[in-house]
Amino acid sequence: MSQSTISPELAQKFKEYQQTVTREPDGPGKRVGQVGEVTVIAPLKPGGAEKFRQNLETYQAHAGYYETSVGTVHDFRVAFFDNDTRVVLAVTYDGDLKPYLVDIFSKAGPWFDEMFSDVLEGYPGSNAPNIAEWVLQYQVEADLWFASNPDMTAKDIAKAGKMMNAFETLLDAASS
Amino acid sequence: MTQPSMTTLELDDIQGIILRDRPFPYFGAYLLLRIDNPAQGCLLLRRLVPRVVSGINWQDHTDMAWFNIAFTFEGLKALGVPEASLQSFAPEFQQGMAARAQYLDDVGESAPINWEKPFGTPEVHVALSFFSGDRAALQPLLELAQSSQDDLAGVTIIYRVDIAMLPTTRTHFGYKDGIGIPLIEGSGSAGYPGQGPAIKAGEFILGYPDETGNLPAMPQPETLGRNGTYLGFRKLYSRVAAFRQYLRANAESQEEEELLKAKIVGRWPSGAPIVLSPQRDDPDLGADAKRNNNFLYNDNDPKGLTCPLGSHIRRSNPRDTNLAVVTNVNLHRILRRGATYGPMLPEGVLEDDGLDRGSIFIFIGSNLSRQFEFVKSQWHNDGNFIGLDQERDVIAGANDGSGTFTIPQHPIRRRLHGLSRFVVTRGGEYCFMPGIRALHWLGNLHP
Repeated sequence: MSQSTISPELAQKFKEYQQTVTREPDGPGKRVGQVGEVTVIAPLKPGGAEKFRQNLETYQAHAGYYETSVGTVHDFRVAFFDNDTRVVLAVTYDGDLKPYLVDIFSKAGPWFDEMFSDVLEGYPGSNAPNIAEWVLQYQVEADLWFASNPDMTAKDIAKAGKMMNAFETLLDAASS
Repeated sequence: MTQPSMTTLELDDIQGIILRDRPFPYFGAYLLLRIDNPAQGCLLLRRLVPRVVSGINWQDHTDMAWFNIAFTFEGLKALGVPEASLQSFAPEFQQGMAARAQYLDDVGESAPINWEKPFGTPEVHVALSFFSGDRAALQPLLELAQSSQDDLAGVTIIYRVDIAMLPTTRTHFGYKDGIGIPLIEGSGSAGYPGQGPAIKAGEFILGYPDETGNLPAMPQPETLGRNGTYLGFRKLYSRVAAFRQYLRANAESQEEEELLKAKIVGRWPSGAPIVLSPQRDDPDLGADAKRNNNFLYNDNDPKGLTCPLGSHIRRSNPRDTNLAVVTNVNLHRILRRGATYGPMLPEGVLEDDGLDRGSIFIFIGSNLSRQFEFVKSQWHNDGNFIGLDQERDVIAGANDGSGTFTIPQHPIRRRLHGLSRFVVTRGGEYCFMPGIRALHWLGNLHP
């Protein structure tokens, strides 16, 4: 679409919705507002994908609790590709990543170990002194990044949701 | 995980300031030196090192004056530390505090470009810290340091700041400080009630397991790294008049001003924690080390109705507060040594007199980014971890005039507005404080 075919109205819309994308301070990863991305592409052990899928029901059942406990995660996905030789782990999260990595492995370490031991090639375990560096070596920075409501953290969104419901209830009571 | 053995610290090899608290009252000074001639730098070290106090008998304060030595990355280079060794130091230390301004929110007035010289320049090499409980005992030690480099043209004292306890015994903002330091496992301290469980020595001293169960990353060779630690040094100007004006403008009475002071910090000016004395100051409580730190938050004050979640001490050490982001608080403890400099702004004066006053803040720890930088960026300069969005700490945060402070209360929370920063960074450096054996190793780099 060349410049000459963009209508002034459309150009105005582009401007209105345009986001300012920055990088994570102190490390790779893109960010807009409070919301950043981590994309990790790692090699799998032979049979690793199969082992993961065998236990997937449990991991999925626990994911809601663990990911909400981290507090800053908007979404998290695990997807196998290239004939089950590689996996992409992608996270959308709030704030700074690097400062919290040690905390995440300290608190959620057992869950990661359960999911990724014998699955990721060379996974050193959450207790290893170099676990943060090991994960970051496979990080690929996104080239394009968009996040809806970039100034709202996962906690803000949860709070806003509750407030909306309370407010609607209030309106119902007031109008009845 | 390592087996749970009690760590034995090599007290004779650890520099004393890591374990010793300030005396009461305290007098002292910090000197910064530049080394232009590595051989002379090493000679100076060989002269000074025999007088450096170690951690032996660290709890005994009846002695004289003492001093300790630390080096910036540029300083280690200037002494001639080999390149491979230099590269083994923590990245933040290699970059220097001025280069980390973004993570520390040293922006605007506090930006390195506005720092007092020689802070933030490659000229700061060696930091000497002097402490004494007695002004008279301090002088000979300062003279010793001065005369040790008098005949060395290649070593120059490029900065000096004197510190002393104020007549009020408090900070320039009017608060008792120095309460609430971590208990270091293996230090031999009995600890104070409320200090919490002993923190693994490796959080504060290299060569011992830290709270992850692993040995912290240590500079090489081992002789240089073992029993050493990292240190952050910051000259922090206190905008006392602005602080007093802000309180006056946001309170209807003297009593309400006092309450605001307590809500902002989490302690009353005497040091009494607000969770233990919700209505008014209690100087006896504030002065009693066995009681003034003996509290937790979650059982009695989970939502901060007594001690606001965003108060200074609750941000700096959340204890058992339910945090919104997954955190192991033991990974982020700060070992701090603060001291006041400059003359007091007389009580009751609301107009600034243009004089330089504030605190020299020292942070000690084995991991600059996980401890000092984490507390500054995640806990002082952000509020997401306590469900307060991007609200910053009133005292230590980089507020830009639009800052807020939330005081939870029933039925409706109170929120203060229009906050600017009350503390301006005038300069700082990241240092490495070597063990005693390491000081000898450094002193012998050049015969």
